[in-house]
Amino acid sequence: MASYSTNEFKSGLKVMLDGDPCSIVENEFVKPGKGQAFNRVRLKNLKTGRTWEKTFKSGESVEAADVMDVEMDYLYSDGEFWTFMDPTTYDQKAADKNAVGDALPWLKEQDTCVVTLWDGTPLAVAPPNHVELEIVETDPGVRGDTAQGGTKPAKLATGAVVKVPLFLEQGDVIRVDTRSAEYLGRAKE
Amino acid sequence: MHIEAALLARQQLYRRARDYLREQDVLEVETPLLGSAGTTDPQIESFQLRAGGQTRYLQTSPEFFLKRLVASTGRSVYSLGKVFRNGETGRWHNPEFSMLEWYRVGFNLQGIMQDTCQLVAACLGQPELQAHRVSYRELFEQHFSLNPHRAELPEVEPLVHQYTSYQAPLVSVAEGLQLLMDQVIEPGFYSPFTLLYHFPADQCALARLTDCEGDPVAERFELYAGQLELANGYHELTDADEQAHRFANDLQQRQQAGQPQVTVDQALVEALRSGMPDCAGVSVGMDRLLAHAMQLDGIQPLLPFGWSQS
Repeated sequence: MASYSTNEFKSGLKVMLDGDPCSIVENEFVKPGKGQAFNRVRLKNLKTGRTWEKTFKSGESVEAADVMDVEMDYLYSDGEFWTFMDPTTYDQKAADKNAVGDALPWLKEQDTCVVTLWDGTPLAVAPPNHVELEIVETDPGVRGDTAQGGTKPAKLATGAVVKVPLFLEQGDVIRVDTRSAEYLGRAKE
Repeated sequence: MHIEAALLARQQLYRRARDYLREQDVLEVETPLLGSAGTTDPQIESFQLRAGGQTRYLQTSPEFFLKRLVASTGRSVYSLGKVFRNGETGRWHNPEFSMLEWYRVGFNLQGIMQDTCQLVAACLGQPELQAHRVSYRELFEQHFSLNPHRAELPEVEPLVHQYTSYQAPLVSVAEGLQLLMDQVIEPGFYSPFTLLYHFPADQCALARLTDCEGDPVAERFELYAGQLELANGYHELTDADEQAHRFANDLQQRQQAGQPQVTVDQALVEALRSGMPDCAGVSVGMDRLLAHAMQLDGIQPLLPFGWSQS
């Protein structure tokens, strides 16, 4: 099994700790002029999402985690699993609710997501940064009012609720930033 | 930050340091970068290379050569140049870095601490440096009601596991004290500058030992800017036999840990034996001092050619 020494540590590196796959968030080399060298590391458990700090002695080795980020198309959900397909190999993977997590309100069929696989099993799903979704529910539009800057809540086809300008109507398709849930503009037809 | 600003600031810093040391009648000298002996310190690794069938060591500090010059000339001396430490890379570390190191004949620990503050003040263009003085023992007593000079592993290990993010078993008391210092005590250094002195005897390096209220302590200090270690100094060991003993002890530790063996600087031992004047010495990390002066959060932006570009 591959392993990494502390001098190879950098953010984004995937390692196994206590049986769980983890990602290095931050790595600080700490050494007094006279004394033992340590690496103070912030880690994220990719299964639980929890982050914490752990100190290693410099020179220690840690097992590598077989974790890969793969671009996959979202196909469908049966309510229990969400199925994704690798567009080049047609290989399909089913992610459970825990793996889909915060991506859930943004998942639109055929959109390309980044699926994090651990030993071939989906651990996490990241939606595209920008998605185009239809407004399925909102207050009636206020015509001509484009300069006021007021907003109202709008429910989208996937269930997400975002703030949109007052002039938008039910049935409009908009672009949204999935990281901030921010309205970006009307989708180009 | 533009690299030109960093280059100009470094030039000013070096000029101020040299001005101060010239006024104090400390002589600037050059010492070899490639020595036939290297540091034996088990915590510091030298770069080694082969030259003319012989191993040479890139110097991790000019300390051996400067002490030999103090012994042969009886003068206070300094050097300002590059030193090399294998495997030290990070926000505050680079495998080659700039060190100012000087020795003052006739100075004791208090004298060199004061001198260091004056030099740093001069480098920063300040009239004086307000530094909080505290001993290693006082800090451990305040934080953990623990006398670090008498602490045993069964007392230290639970503290480390409770208060730090190091959870593996400890190998030594020294390691535990260092973790507590780094993760608990240093983050509480609120003064602009802190002078920490009287380190445990097993962290003595080239410092002499003294008795402090019944405990053996190293006449060693460190100067911190906030939580950043800037300088490390000693009331220097001048006892040749004790020096030879420490070298042998280091080599034994290296052998037990499977680390490379190092050629010992016998010439330093001989220099001490020939009659070394009472003196104190200190080194300042100039990249760090510059980063502090420019309010940067690391030394890498100051290097025109960082480790990955050089």
